[in-house]
Amino acid sequence: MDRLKAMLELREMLRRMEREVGLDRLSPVEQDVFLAAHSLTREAGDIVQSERIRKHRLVKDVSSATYHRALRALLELGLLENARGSRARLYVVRSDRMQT
Amino acid sequence: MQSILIIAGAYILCHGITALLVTPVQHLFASHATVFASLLYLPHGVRVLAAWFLGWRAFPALVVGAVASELLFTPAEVFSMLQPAMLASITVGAMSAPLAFSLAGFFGRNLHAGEGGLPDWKRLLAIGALASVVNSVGQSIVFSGFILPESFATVAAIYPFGDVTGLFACMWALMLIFRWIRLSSAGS
Repeated sequence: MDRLKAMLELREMLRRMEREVGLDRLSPVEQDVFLAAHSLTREAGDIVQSERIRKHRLVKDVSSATYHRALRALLELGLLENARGSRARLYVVRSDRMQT
Repeated sequence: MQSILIIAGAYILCHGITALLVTPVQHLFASHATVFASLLYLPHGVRVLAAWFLGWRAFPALVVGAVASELLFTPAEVFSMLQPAMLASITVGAMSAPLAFSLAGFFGRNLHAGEGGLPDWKRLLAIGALASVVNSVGQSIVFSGFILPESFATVAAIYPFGDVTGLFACMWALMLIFRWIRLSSAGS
């Protein structure tokens, strides 16, 4: 077992739990990053490149550190997933998991 | 070695909270049957999370934690009354969660941490419930000579209830701790 991967899974699971029990809401930047990613896809499950999200008008003025923190939060929440089998920073947009 | 210390320490802490806080409150309104089972059994959370991380390798650490906890927190008169059954009870409790994960694996669902499965807290609760059923059956057998027949059904029902609420409480506490760490590091 990969210990780091297991710790990451624990963090992801608890972050998702936070969201599902209603304790966690997306911050404004996280919302912007997710909306930007969503607008660059046609349907849930489509893949988008990090660079394209970064250049989106909603996100382009955000500092790099804040952008990456928001990306990490969205990954933990399962709203974005790393696309498998690709070296580029590609994300699967899981708008199907977004609660309304 | 480090894993054993962490798991055993967490187990002792959770057992202590259950014994010193939950049980006295429970005895104010619950019946004789609850001498054998808690309505909020926090160590089950440690069992399930430890087995989620380590599988059967968590077993010795859980035994160490449970033995130390019984020595520290079980009143001497109860301990001596249950003495022959205590070791069997500890063994059953420590093997319940690893066995539940093995059963899930047998049916093609490897749910251990780091194995690539999507981490889902509700799935972990379900495994905790399965572990609790295993534990409940085992404990009912172990304590069959001590529990009054009319209390048997109550005890058998309290075990799974207390185990699952205990697991949920542990996960809730971890969630709040991780949230606090995240928010305080973001604020600084």
